[in-house]
Amino acid sequence: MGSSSLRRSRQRTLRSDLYSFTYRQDSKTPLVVSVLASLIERTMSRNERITRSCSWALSKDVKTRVFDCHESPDMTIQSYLERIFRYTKAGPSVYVVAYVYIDRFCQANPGFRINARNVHRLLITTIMVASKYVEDMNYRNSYFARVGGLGTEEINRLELEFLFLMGFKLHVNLSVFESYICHLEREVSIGGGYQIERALRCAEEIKFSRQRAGDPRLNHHHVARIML
Amino acid sequence: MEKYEKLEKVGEGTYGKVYKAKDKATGQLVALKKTRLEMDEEGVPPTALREVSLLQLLSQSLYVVRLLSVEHVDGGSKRKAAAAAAAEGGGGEAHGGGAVGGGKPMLYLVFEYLDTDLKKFIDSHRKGPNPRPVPAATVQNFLYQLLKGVAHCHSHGVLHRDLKPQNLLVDKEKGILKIADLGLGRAFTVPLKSYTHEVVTLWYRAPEVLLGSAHYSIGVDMWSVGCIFAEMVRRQALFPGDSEFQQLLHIFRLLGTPTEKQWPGVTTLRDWHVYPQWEPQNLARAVPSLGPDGVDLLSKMLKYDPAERISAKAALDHPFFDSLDKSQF
Repeated sequence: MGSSSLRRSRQRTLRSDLYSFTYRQDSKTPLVVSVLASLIERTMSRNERITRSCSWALSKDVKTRVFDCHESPDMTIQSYLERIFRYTKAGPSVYVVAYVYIDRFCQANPGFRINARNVHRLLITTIMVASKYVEDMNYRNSYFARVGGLGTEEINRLELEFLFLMGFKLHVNLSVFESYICHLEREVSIGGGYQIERALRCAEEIKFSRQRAGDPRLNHHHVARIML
Repeated sequence: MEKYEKLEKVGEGTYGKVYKAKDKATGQLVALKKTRLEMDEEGVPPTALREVSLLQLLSQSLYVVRLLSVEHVDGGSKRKAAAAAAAEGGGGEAHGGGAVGGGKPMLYLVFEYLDTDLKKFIDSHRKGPNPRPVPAATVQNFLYQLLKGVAHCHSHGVLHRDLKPQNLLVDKEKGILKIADLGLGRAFTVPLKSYTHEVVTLWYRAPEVLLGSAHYSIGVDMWSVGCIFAEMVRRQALFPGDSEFQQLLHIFRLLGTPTEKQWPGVTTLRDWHVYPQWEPQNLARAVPSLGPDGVDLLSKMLKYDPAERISAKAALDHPFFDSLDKSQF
């Protein structure tokens, strides 16, 4: 099976995750989490390159410094997002809406750049706000704080700063939502950075090892499922 | 918040009080909705968060109450997000300010002020020294404005989910009606887990919500509009249930117990039971002063199958409004 058909099946999975997620306690992490992690890691890498090449590109926005922590957490974005998903069970659409908010936040605050020192706080804040906005049942801020490794007062302060810096522009209409899904799908189609490439390689290896072992269960659907 | 002079308390919500106040600089009357921020647990309540963002989206309509600004007061500092600026793409501006609210963090939502609501307006026609029907022209006028507001919400992908007379503000002098209180509102365009069933005050709650439907749409608001329409005509609630079960029985007694033929899938809804079998009554008897066009429009708003229920946009073109001078809207 070619890599293009693998990508197509992953794009289908991304969309079906978003529109028919089952929300059982044992639900696997939806694909959108990996894709979002991949996108943000690439954004951070780009920002690091820009910052290295020109010092004026450092975040100069005093208002957004509230998201900076003293030292960069050693948890990867993928692991952090998986942890948030595991403990909050926020639906996949919450992650798409959070991605919209991150984009809007960066546009509203041009001096702000996502980097290793602010990314974790920005993610937990945007996911919490997106969950409050789109879901009818929400965990309290104190719970999100524990999940994200912050104090309650700290996450409350981040939430307020975020809302005022965003001008409370939280509504996401269908066309915007769909356009961001398409953007995430494109991320899948180009290989999706480190996380997805690794998943694809892993899936290919499993496929070939099964072929060598003559595994009769191997088919298109099975491979697609292995990759998630 | 020292720029406003509080005049009187006009109401109380889940998260705080509502005051009538005056802008000291301009003399403009405003409504201040005070929201306590539970800084130890919840942070900004989801209702406040939704209300602000949805009103910024919808406030350009004449038929939705205008949010003028949002102000955060936190002990020694104050910060303000001007709603208009945010709606045009600018962020909120931060201000220093005096300590207000005894050091407790508060969020103030500043709204345009309207002197009454539809419930009080209807009650004034039912009770007191001069009980009289709400004039037919007023019913027609208010219903048209309500539908304009609901159509505006729906066209922006927003369900109100708590339409009731108390949430419809009225300017008696100008004959204006505006939708308020979007705390339960939500975007219906984003795919989600099952929606909550704790929406809409019981008397205005659609049967699909009462029967535990996992997903619902604009039909829930249109059912509420139908109940409000009937209430303006009758001067009392159409379905005044005191529990979810009693609410369903009120509906079934008037409209008949729904069948699979009328409403495909009704018997598979989560809370469907075997109910007494009632035949539909003549709806005109419930609203005796309403003409045939009005009864027809009401019946379309109270269709059991949400897919069959008339939309706000279609309702605006119903013959019931043919005699209305629409140039004023």
